[in-house]
Amino acid sequence: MTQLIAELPASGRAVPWYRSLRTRLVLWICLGCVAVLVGATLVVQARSAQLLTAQSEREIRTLAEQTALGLHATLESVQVGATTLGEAVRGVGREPRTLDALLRATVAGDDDIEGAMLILEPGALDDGDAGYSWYVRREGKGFYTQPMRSRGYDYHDQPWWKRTIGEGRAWWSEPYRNAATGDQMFVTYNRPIRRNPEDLASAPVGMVSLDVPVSRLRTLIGQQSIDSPVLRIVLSPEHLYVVHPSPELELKVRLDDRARQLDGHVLQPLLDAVRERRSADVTYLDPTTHIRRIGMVQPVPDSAWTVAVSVSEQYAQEQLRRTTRAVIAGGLLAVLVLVLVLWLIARPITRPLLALTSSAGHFAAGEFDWPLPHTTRRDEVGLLARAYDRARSSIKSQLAEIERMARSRQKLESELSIARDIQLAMLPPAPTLHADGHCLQAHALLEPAKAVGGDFYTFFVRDERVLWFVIGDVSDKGVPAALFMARAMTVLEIATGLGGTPDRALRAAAARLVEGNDTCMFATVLCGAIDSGTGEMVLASAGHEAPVLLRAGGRRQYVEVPTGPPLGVDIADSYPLWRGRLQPGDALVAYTDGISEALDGGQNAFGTERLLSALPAGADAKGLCEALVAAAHGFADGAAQSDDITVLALSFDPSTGGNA
Amino acid sequence: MELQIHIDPPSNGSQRVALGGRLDTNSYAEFDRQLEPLLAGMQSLLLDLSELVYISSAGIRSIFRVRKALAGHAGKVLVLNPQPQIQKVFDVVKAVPLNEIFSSAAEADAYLDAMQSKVLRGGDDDEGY
Repeated sequence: MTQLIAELPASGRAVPWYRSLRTRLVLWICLGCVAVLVGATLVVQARSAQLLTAQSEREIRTLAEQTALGLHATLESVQVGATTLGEAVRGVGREPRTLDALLRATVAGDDDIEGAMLILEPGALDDGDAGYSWYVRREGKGFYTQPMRSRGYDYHDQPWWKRTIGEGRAWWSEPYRNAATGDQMFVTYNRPIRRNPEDLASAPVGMVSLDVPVSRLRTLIGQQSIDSPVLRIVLSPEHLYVVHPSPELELKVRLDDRARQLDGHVLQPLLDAVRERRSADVTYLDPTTHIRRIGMVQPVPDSAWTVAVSVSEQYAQEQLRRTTRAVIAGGLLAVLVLVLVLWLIARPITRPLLALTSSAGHFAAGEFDWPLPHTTRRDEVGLLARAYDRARSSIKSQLAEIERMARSRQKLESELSIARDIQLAMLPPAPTLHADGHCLQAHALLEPAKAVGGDFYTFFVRDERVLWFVIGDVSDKGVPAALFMARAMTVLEIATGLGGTPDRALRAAAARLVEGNDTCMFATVLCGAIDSGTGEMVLASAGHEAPVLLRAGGRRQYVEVPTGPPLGVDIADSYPLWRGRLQPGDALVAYTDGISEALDGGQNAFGTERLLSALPAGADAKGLCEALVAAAHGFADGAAQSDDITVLALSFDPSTGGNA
Repeated sequence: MELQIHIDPPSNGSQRVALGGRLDTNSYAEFDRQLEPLLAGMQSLLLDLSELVYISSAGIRSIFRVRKALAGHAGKVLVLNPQPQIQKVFDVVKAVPLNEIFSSAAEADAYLDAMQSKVLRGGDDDEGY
């Protein structure tokens, strides 16, 4: 609490910005905005991703269809070229020169066609026809021709001839390497020729073949790399990758092998679709690039070829990511602007608080009349200011009250101090008597535990040689005890003045003190009279501690004075009288329980044993008093004095007297 | 050590009160306060001091006051089983007549019975102190 008050600025010093309400306000609002922004963006993104994926699938389908159509156009033109060649043979006649021209025209007429072959068996179309079997290939600006029968080579032995004639229908070959054309890869369209084209059941009598370089197909599909987001793939009738961006796959691997290789046979649905000549799509993880891709197959119409397209999912989402980044960046910028605006708006809101804090700091420093602003406002600041105002009034009135109480306490203490002086003034000086060559010296010390106490002593001399002494202890302490002590002293003084012996004096005093003593205050009293010439003494005790007798030889003992009841409670019939005699060198020490029951820090009492041993042998009355009080203080060792301390000593000595 | 005061329910005009701890300047007011409402009409108060370890003159004064209150209607205060240091204080200040201090409850009960039967016999009231 003290720490917090100490932190209150006394002169409007602001709190550090990082603890300011303004900062927190702005911070939390901005955090909220950012959270909303991010959350909304994520929701929109998730929804958009679904839409985009659907759209991507539509796009890829369109792409696949277009690619298939493009390939179809090329393949179909070749197929048409083959049909035209095959049919033209019937019309133009079968002279070898004509057929040569026809072959060259076929190659020259279509850029996609690199070479053409025509085989007619002898007597194929007309019974008189000679056979014809030639191959023509583009070579530079001219043509290279080659017979299909020569020494060691007969087309009848070739598998393509056997298949075309055997199956009797047109087909596309798988890509093959032609050593005669510099290892270029080709695919070839083979078409049988029948004597009667309408009769599909009759055996073919020849065939036409047109060669298409694979590079033409690749050009048709377009240049692409394996990293391209969109991959276009062409599959041969046997599912070989004829065009593929990956050199490891192109012209080497079949879709069947690839489907087997990939984990989980994810490509199997594609393979099935290819076999059944329908389109299909599948999403899979490319094991070489570790990119998720969407793959699709689309059969090329009127042929056994297939086009496949593959798009990376990332590519499909990239646009969305860019949009998201732009939205987030824009949103953060907006939040930044919001921070600035809020910071400016929050300043006038928090400024009155600073002013209030400043005033509170002045209050904490004791300047309660420092002006307090904003008390008329109708908002929370006004409430706070009015609460401050009330607290200030309350503190001011309480301070005034405290001051008043302090003054009255001061007055009381001053009165108590005067009372103490009066009380101590009641104690008489200790006399010294000389008679018959002896000296009776008296001394007494009194230390009240409070400003005023209940202990008392008194002396008076009778007949110039008898010393009367009284030591007493009133129950309780403080003002009531002091008043009772004053009463007891007065009563005892009268009682002892009546003459007689101490027992009679006590009885008389007891009778007086019981009167009207409703509070049951009482005093223990030891009363004695000593003849200073002879040392004879008489003692009577009203419940008081036994005095100590120090003999001249150093022996010390408690004087077992029989006691009556203390003064103030009961009127005893009589108090026992004890008679004794002081020898020269002897001393008598009386005390109150402030000595015998002085406590140390551990609540141990000083006790009778320590009391005895604390009295120095051979000391005079004054020395005895001082030694005993010093011993009691030394024993208490700083512990609070629990009761009034009083010591009264009488020393009887022939040597100390002035006229001994 | 605080003063402990245990007040038994009254029976037949007799009340037993057990004290423990210290009965001194700091605690006598509490003792007075708790005993005050019981004093009227109480015939005998049995003060069990077996747990009391210290008594000061202020405490003695409180016992005096109880005694005085009971003496007003011929009641008595009996002290049971005080510890030696307490007994010594009683001896010195003569707070309680010696024949009213007992070392056991049975002894006190016997005394009370004898005293009450004496009263019932319409006896003399010289059972004073």
